[in-house]
Amino acid sequence: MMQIVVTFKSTHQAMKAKKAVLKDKLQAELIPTPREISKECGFSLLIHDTTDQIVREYMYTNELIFSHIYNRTEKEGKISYEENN
Amino acid sequence: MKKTIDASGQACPKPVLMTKDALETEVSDLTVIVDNPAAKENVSRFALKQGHQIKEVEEIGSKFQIRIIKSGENVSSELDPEDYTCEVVPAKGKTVFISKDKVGEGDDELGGNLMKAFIYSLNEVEKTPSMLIFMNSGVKLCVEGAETLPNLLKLEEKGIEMLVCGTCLNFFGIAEKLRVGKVSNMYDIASILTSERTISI
Repeated sequence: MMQIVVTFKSTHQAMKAKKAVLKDKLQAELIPTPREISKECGFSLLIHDTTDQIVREYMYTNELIFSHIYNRTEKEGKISYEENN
Repeated sequence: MKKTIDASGQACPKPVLMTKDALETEVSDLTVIVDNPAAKENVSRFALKQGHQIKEVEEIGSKFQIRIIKSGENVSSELDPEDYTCEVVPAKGKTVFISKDKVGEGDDELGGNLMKAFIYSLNEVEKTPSMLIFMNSGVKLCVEGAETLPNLLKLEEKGIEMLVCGTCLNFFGIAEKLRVGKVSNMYDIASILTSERTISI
């Protein structure tokens, strides 16, 4: 189990995805897109205690459009993101 | 017996508690050193209320020395929270005044999400504020079930102080649901907003 960050092309897509995952009781929150991932302003979805496969599958079955999926790891207070293809 | 205790650098209400402990020992002439006016007031008020005498208060540089002459008997050993106010201790960093559960005007759903994202990001910014003040619908961010609650609890753990408007909690009927921060009133909030470096969001 890990923390997953999903990025989107638009704010609307991010907000739509957040509504969907919260309805399905996934532990998720909208966060500002981390600077390490993109300098652009925007929301990303941070999903706790899950795996990238679960998230990917969820996004596809619910027809939610997203850009990328990242693994978020926190080590000694330092947060890093790794793209998951 | 004479005694001196140094309570400078101690956060409220520690100076009062240290004074109380010292007065419970075999001391007759106690000098308490504090480093801010609020602590000076609190320690003096406490000592007087306990029936002791304040011989003199001396200001030395940025510090205060309060000399207390102990009365024969201890009047009461119970500490009344009303005897000291901690809220007015000056904070070191910035104060963020949050008077809504949303950021800005335009779209409410977007504004609500912006507020959640803002509070999330406070945990990651380099210079975290030293205090958050919540008023009007802003108090809804601090209650049970609020999506912002986990991130606010994290901030509280880091030592960021939070004052929540009691009148507002009462108005929305959510006073029992408060899970983070401490209930405060307009006097404390007004004194902080007018004395600290405050930004509003």
